[in-house]
Amino acid sequence: MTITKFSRRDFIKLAGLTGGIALGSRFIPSHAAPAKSLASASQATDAGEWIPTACNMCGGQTGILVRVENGQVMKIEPNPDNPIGVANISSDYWVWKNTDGAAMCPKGNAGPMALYDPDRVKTPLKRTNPKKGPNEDPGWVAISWDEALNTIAAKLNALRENDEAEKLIWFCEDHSFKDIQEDFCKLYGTPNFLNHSNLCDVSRKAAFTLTMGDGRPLGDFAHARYILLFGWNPLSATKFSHLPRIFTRAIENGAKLVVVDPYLSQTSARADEWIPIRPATDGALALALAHLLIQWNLYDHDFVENWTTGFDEFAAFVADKTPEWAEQITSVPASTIRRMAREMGEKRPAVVDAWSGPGQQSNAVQGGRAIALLNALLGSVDRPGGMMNPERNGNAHQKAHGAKIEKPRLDNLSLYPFGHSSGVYTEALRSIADGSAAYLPKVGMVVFQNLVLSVPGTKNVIEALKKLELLVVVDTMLSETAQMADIVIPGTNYLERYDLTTNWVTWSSVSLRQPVVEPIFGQLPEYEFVTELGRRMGLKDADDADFFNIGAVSGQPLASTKAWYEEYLSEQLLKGGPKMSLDDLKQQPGACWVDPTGTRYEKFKDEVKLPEGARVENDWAVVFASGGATPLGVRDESGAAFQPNGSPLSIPSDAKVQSVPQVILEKDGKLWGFVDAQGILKGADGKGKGFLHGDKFFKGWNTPSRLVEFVSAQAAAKKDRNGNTVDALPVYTPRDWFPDEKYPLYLINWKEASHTHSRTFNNPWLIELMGWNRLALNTATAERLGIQDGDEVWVESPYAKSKALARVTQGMHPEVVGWQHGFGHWALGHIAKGKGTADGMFNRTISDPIAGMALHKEVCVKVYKA
Amino acid sequence: METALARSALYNFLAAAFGEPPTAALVDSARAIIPALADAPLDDLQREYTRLLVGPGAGYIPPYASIYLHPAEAGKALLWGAEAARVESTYRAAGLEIAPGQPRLPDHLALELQFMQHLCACQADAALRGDMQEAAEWQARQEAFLQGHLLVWLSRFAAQVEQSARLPFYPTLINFTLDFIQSEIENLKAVAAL
Ligand code: SF4
Repeated sequence: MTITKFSRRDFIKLAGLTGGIALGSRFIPSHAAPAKSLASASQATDAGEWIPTACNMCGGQTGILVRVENGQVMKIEPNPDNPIGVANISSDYWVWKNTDGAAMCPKGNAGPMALYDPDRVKTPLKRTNPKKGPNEDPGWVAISWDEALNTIAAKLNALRENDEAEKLIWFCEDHSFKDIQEDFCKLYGTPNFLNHSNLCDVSRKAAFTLTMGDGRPLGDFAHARYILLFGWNPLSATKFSHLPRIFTRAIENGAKLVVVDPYLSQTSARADEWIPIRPATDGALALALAHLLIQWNLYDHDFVENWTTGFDEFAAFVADKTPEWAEQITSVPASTIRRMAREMGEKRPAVVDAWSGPGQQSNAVQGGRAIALLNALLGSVDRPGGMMNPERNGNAHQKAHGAKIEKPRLDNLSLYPFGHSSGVYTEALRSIADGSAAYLPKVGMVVFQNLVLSVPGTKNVIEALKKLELLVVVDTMLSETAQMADIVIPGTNYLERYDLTTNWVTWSSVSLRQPVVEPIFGQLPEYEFVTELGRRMGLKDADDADFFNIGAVSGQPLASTKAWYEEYLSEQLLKGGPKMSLDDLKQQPGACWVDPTGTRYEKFKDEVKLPEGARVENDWAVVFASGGATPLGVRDESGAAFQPNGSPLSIPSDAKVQSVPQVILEKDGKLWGFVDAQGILKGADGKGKGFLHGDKFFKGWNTPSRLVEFVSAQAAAKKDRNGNTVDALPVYTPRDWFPDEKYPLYLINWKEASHTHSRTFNNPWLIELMGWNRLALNTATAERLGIQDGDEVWVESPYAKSKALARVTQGMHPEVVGWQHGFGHWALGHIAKGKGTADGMFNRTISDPIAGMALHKEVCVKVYKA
Repeated sequence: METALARSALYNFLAAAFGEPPTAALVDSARAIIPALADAPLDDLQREYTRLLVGPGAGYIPPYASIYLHPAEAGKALLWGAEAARVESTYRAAGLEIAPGQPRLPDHLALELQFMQHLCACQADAALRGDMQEAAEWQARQEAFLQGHLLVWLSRFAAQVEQSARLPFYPTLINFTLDFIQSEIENLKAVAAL
């Protein structure tokens, strides 16, 4: 290469040719005056500070302290003032906070590597190649924020003006800036707002809600003496940073840890006993354990008699669920089942928990109920060493008032009898792909989600995304889903943004995630992107208020989207448990508010007191609208009727008038509540508040009977997605897909502390920890198939075929093969690309018929040498 | 003074060339300055700009100093290395900070070129006021920044751009920039020695 030398005269000539270029506005004068000379040029750096915030490398939300020097994140340490960590108990936490709380998982440590990943999306991008697919180069062109926002706003407004608002389908993460996206969808008028939970644990939510009225109970493992886990790996799986130390403490105190799992997970490896089981048969094992606990009289009589319902029917139902019956189904020897039952019955308190192993299967809800009910037999519900019902008086999202949305949801959520508000990704995407959807959406918005790699049935997901006229993906990385987009919006890393988080602890708390550095590419955080979009579209709420402009606290228009969002969060704090502003929350130790009451056990025994001066009427009736459960009002013995506020009511002709034992009025005559024929105390809104026990009202659980339910009348009243009546008892039904001659092996997948879902695989530290997902198979199985450790093998299902590397191990059930989820990227970043095998392609795009849980783990394959 | 102003304009042009998607005006200027620049449709150039300089994805060559100055294991270099913090304090010492709403990363090529534009403009301004001592100070800053920082990584970056490019536009532009900066250093030295 020849070097051209320019003289000073050349410069003048060349400069004359740059006339068309405006002066760049990349800098402003700094507040500090410039140093007068080079010699005195201050190289001074600031001393740096530790800023408290909450991790979001996964949904665990662990409290962290971030070291920031000169605007640069240097390192991350745990924040012991923030108790968020699964299953912490207040009495225990504050004693042990410097050990239990001073814990982060490897992903938390690797946060700066994600923040400063050169493969992040830095500016809005527009696709120029209309062809979409894994092998298509999108032909990205960088565009301005204005162009991106205006293009999206114009398309969305056009849909809405055409009365097609429902044709926007929106997917978002469940722990990050979800509220504002939900509000946007409401005001826009689409029913198709979905979020991540139905890819995760909604079957567990349904199972525990049906039994003990709480979708996410947390085990009090530190105080348990016997811990039985089904298909859960808390010592390593994604979000449980505090549990390794809590479990260690429990074990040091003499607890026995038993893990039921087809795979010898990190938790199984450290357990007293690993029970390999055939996938999706956990419910049968739980029923046999229940059978023995009852037969041997090892159950908690007092608890069962006073605080549960349906025991006799349940006992009769499990009478023939013998260990021998379960052995046939589960492959767990009857003698082992007997020993387990004896130990758990004798070593109290005992706690039984389950997560995604049995949870991502077609029979997950009933299996989950069988597992949950072991806690009821052991008297381990909301008691020390048992499954706790957490208190959740955290931040309170004040939902935007949108006009009522009449159009049906695409995912048919209402047909899943115990579906979750997060919707059903599989049904939405599959029905779009195969054209069976009630209508085809035109615009897709995907925020911080990699649908292509995380929803089972990769091909279907890709087909569905192809059918959208405009797909917008908001992400920090060019994921496989972003590769399908028409417009990509750069997302923020969690160190660049706000969030409030209130999950994962047994007493009320709210911790703050706050920007410790400004978004490094000058990008709008996701919530400001949504706010700005709402502004450009002129979205109003049902009261015609300018929702995205008016501050929720000040009531004044706010020019800055950041200031607007800060008020949005402040309102949630002021109206929720903390009763403080966002600024006040920042001042709390560890930027975390904790309810001083702490963890309370046996909340079900809380007495519900009638208001002072209450009047109880025994001969009155409650008036319901036909088909409704919320009272229109009440009727007195003379036939006069009143609305809940005490003013007269004329009873509609089709109303249902029901005599009840007690109608309770406040002293000024307003309706306070009533007691129904079953002795359930209900509020003026018709919702359960407690139940009559002796001469007192107790709070009980949030189930229809206010008791822990062995038999679920509400289940029996419903049909599942396939039209079958839901069993009132936790009946074991075999899952749909079993190994056969052609595909003789179960395929499972799991998560480990090294990675989160499918999103951390471009992180150099984490890929160093775990850089490939080899396919684990049992030594005997491998020998039969002629496969040796390290061999390249084909994995094949009816839906896909791909290569993998074999890992031959004793730590796997002989009928099962499995691997860690999240690998096999063909995009995302230069480190992630091409490592390991993706697991979603082998699968169908379906969910369980009761809760709508995606069936990641219900797959069968054949494996042979490549 | 005239030279300093001219150099300021050239740096401004280069900052735009490496920091913004190409526009018709920018391409016209580029052609005028580098007559040998091969022709290509504007939308191809915009795709090329995005692929090479914005990314991410195959072909992306991150235009940040930290990537080239912190020899991490190959392919694992991060944004905002220690050099970025040093560059930022150099900006501050010269009385500048990154404008609100702009990317915060201090060591993007466009930002560094814009910084050079500013130093040249300050030099010209001081000269106009007849403060030759101050003008010399501004010039010393330029020399230190080019030699101690920009040139060090730019050649490594240029080599990778050349390898990855599909069109000759950016390699030509970056080679022009390298030549320009080499000449700058020689010229500045010569002037300082006077
Ligand atoms: S479990 Fe790890 S990645 Fe998840 S929030 Fe906690 S520290 Fe962060």
